[in-house]
Amino acid sequence: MCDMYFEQLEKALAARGVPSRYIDRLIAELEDHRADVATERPDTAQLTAPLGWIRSRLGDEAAIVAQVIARPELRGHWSVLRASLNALRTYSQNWVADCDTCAIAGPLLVRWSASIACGTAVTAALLLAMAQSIALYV
Amino acid sequence: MAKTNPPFMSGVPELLVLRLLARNEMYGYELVRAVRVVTGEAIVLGEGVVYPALHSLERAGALRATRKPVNGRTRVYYSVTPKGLERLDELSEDWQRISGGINSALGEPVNV
Repeated sequence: MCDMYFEQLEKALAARGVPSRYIDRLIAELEDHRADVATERPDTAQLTAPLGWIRSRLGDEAAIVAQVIARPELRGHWSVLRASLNALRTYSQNWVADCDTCAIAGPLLVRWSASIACGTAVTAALLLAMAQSIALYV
Repeated sequence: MAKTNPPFMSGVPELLVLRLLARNEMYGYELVRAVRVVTGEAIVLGEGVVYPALHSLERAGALRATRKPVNGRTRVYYSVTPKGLERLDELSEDWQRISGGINSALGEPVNV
């Protein structure tokens, strides 16, 4: 359950473009904090404690993500670009899976739609990256 | 139980963190507990959200983080830098001024 909490937090931070080096550090310190709480209250803080318990102590994942995102020095200069690339990677993986399904099912129209959607996503990501680059240097 | 992060708490966690770390170096869990104790549980920092605040102060050069092995684990201890002490002085002065003003306003009759 605790692993699920940290995995969700890691995914949420990565989705917002937070550098992986910082995510690793934050998760390591939160895990250490969790271990300290478990030492303090071994009766209520088992390593397999329910998700609700760890959220009540460390805070909701969304609250921690919001604290990181609110600080530009932690999320890094290229967070929007990283977030776009992460989204694109996820989309590409889904697209490949869709194409496999299409190959079995056969309807060409679905494959075309997937290609057009992927092309649109790539264009949008590049435009977003360009916009961020311009914003940084203006 | 005290509420965590009420809306008027802006700047207060930073002040408390710097004040406590100016006395002794501490790790995150120890710091959260110390804040609770020294404020008589009037202020309870969110246990998870204290870390982004610490990291932010470290990036600003106000804190120094040192990794130390403790019982087979690596703990990150935080201490205040000279820049952090300067920031603490600024925040303390601001707080004294604001709290003095609020106390004065609360002590005055409503008819002005």
